[in-house]
Amino acid sequence: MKIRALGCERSGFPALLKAKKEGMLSVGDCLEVFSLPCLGVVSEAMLFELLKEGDLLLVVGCPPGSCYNEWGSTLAEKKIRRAQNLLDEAGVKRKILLAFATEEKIGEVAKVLQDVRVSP
Amino acid sequence: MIVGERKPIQEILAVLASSRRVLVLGCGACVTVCLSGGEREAHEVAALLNLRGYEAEYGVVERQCEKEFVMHAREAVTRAETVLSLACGVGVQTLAELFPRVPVFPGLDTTFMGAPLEVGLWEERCIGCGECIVHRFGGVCPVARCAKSLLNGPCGGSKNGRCEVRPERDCAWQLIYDRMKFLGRLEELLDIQPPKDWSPSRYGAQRKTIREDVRV
Repeated sequence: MKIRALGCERSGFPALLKAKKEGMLSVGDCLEVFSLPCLGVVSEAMLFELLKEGDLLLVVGCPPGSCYNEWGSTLAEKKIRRAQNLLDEAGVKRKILLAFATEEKIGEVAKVLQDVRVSP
Repeated sequence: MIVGERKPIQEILAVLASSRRVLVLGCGACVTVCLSGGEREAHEVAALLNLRGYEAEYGVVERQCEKEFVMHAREAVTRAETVLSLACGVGVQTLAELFPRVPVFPGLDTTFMGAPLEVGLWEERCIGCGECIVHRFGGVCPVARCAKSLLNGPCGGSKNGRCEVRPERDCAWQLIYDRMKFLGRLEELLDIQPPKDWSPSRYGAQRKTIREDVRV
């Protein structure tokens, strides 16, 4: 399974780097980690473009309520849900997972990926 | 603006059938504003089609209803086996007329002429009946906004300012009453409105507007 990951510069990206260092992301191969200023700028098209080279896209951002830009994670959650619905509707068997984490609290990343380990 | 909604993905996939090279062409006008057929949505659909194994590219023209703008997409249209238009029905037909050899499919359902009320919410305001009479009703169109298009309303079903047919909506005649009262023109509502002449509406035949003064 080829995984790509996307995180916001404030929380998600540092959390992903730490999770990768600690071997938490070892559920797949060829992991690439991308960053962007805030998850609020995520679009469905961007998610689909990232999935072109991956089976699974892991998106990590600030926990809602403590998002640096206030609404970034909330907006991203809606976009990701919609994007996953479109993928399902189109019969594309790829997944987008969302986790809220910071460099200090990366447990959520492991938790989200646990489902992938259970049902690959 | 003209409001449209993207067709379900399954329906789009069904019409594209065996085509591989697809151009998803958006329109930079109304459907961009109503977030259903602009550049962003064209990119979204094209990227999704690519994940399904199509060779899809996307583009947008400023107004798909005008030949001069559509011609800017000529090269991209020529490269494609099929065009999926995310414009309103007018744009789809303009595209099909200009490029008769390329199959053009609508990716949107054109729904109504309306206005954005708040972020993510559009509501019908006009049905293009061909004879505007909103001035008689304080600027609220009973033809488009009353479920029964009553010119002498309200009907007996209006309750607490809500429509009988769709109770989640305001009764258009309540809005008309409130507006006319505010304008101090309430007595005008006692005038019986004559039956509407529907001949200028879409029930006649295809309509045309000709301006001889600008033709050469």
